[in-house]
Amino acid sequence: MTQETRHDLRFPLFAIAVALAAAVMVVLAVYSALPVAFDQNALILALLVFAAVGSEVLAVLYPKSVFSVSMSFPLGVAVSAYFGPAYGALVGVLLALSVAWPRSARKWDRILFNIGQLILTFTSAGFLFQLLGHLLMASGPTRADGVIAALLVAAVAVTVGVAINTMLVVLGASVLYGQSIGKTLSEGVAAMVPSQLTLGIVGVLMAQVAAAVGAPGLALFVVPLLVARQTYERTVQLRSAYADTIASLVAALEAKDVYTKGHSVRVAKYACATARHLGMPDAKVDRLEWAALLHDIGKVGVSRRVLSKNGKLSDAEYDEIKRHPAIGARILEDVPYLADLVPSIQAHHERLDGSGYGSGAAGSDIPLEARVLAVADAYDAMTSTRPYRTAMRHEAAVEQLQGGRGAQFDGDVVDAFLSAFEDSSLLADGAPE
Amino acid sequence: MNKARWAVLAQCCVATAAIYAAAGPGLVADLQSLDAWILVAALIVAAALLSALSVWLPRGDAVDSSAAIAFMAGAFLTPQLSSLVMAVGWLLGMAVSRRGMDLWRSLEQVSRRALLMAGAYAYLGYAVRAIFGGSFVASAAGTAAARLSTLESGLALKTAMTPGFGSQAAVLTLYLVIGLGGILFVSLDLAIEQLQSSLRLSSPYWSLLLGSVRLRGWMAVAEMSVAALTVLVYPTLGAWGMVIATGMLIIMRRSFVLLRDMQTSYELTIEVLARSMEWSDSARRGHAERVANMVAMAARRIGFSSKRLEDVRYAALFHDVAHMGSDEGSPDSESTSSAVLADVVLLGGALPILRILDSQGHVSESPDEEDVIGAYLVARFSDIDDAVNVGIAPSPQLSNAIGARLYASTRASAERVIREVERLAPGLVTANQLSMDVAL
Repeated sequence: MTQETRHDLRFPLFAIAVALAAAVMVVLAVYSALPVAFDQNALILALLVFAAVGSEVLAVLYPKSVFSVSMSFPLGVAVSAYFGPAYGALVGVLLALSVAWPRSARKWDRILFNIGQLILTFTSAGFLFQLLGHLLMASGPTRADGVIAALLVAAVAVTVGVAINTMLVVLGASVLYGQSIGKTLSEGVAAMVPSQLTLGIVGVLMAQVAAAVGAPGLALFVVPLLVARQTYERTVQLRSAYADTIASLVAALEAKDVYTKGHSVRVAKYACATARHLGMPDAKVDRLEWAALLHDIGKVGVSRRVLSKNGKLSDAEYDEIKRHPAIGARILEDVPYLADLVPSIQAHHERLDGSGYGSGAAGSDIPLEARVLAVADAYDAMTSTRPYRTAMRHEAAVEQLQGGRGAQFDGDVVDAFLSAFEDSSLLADGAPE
Repeated sequence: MNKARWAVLAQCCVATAAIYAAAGPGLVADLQSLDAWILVAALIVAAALLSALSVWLPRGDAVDSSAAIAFMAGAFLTPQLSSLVMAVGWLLGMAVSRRGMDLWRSLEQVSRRALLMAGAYAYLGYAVRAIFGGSFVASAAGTAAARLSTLESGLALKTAMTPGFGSQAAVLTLYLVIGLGGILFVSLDLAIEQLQSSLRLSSPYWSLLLGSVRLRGWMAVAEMSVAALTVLVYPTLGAWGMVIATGMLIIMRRSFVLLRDMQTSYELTIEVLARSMEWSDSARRGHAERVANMVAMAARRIGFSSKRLEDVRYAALFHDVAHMGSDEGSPDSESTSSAVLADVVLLGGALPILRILDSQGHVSESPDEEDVIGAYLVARFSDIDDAVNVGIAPSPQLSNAIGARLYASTRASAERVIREVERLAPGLVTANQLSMDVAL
């Protein structure tokens, strides 16, 4: 998700509205609070709150996103289920402040929004536990129907809590970053909902264990939650480093040829900017970046003499060049994680009128990613010096792209590419040497 | 019959003897109530699900969470019944996942679980009885013959954990016993499993065990925590607690698989890119990969940990990266392999080895001994591959120089490394080579 924020009154007003709704919930929660016997429960509350705040400070951020995964969510749910909505609100406030604390420059509207949304999340789950008559099964064997009813109540309360949390975060991000609600929602649901639902159920189990066997039972949750966090963090780190590794190794391959040095990295930059202007989801933009970095990997199968020939290519030499998309596809087919990039790499030299080469596709049969790659690749090739000609100027290359609309290039993609140039500093950053 | 199969047979015999020695009340006595049948069914389903979702590592052992289920079974059932439950669950899981079942692998898995059941029984039975005394068992089960690990005494845990039963200290001790039991149980599971892998792969046992602990240690502790939680909440949630526990175990397994898949893809991508770099040089195509495979085999036998194996393998894959890609095949004097890869964070572990290779063994700082061994293996196997597969005369100056450095630092290590190289490439490298290294 693009991190450029709007600087108008919409988000502050939205944050105030969320905070006011949260204030109403707090009043209701305090008014309806059930008495809690603190002689035995103070330790449980302290442990859950301390662990929740610690987890929030150590939350793992999704790369290039506003969404994060924290183990504080199940702990907040456990407090709401065990102690009721008023204490859930308390945890919400502490969690929001713990997010803001290490970053003193945090703006007031974001702190207010976080406090409001967390209060609404935990109090709503807590109210549902309370209203549906849920009682944690603290002692003795329970009848099977009682267990099923309790599990259903837990599932409903957690689902409502997760739904409120997701909706508020998605709306907030949409207002703050000016993106469409649909796009933000689809990303938010994919990123947050499965893990939050699971963790919410774990939170209810925590409350159950605390009720059944007291504070010592909570210790058994420490390692599973820490392991889940560590595993997730390592996966995120590996995923981020993956693209860097590919970029470095492709750069090492290209460095052998002064004419293609940096080509793939520049194509990736152009392609990603264009894809964002076309409104592609972030997940697809990420994959496109990888495809762009690897789009010419098949050139390892083309003789360097042909690639760097200073003059017109013979038919046989041109046929050899035309094999590179297929070779690239064959190389990448062996890697399951990269296999989805194969169609766009295989088709990146196709033309809309069917006169290109690679996969034999034409028109809308060419994947959109391949059409984006085609424009980005062509622009960089035209503006780079090659053995047989000097680099074109930006204006001349744009003229060529415009001239190829409909026959060679997708007109919408050309428009998006040019808009990306107008809106950003691509020209200054990305110009080939 | 090889050593691994003899070990499986021995394991089966020990497991049978242990289960027989641990015999308690018969199966029929265990399954007299509906609760008991539900519990047994839940355990079988959980074991089957987790076996079906097990992750098979390239070296042949499976990573599953069934140890956690086995621990629960051990806490609630007799050793015979829990062994039967785990065997049926495992076989069902294999059938559901449609994985080919090899007789020896099946025997190994089932007998390992049976052995663990006997261990769990012995531990829980004797430890708890020693702490709580005969009255605990008697009040729980009602007969002198009953033991803690029977279903009846498993249900007695309920009584122990209901308010009003016993002192808080007694209940805390019980938690401690269950938690410690979980750790012992999973440790025994890993130890036996890695013994089998060691015999199958002819790799040093401790190296495999340490690698396995590093890879799965925390995951195993987390799974045993979930198993202990399930035992603790059994009094209130009954078999439903097992549904939640199995869900948690599956989610933990999935996250492990996700991470493992990402790591595997990453390694595969690196290999594919390394292979691509050699594509334009028809004579040396596949050289780096062959060298990497030989180096990995030797390093595994020498006892490198899994992390160090990965580092030395990457170093082998990219040892020529600075020289690849030009039609002439001539070295690029301005670049070194370590410089080319300097920005690749996840290949950082291979850089010290590449620096030793780049500097002809003359790095200024004191290198780690395993890095020197790794560099020596890469250089020596590269020479061997040049001679055998590429068909060019090797230029052993580099491997000789690094070998001399290795010999000067630790003679014993150097001789062991030479033995491994000679074992993998008999006749091509002799111990005399080392003398030549030193002379150089």
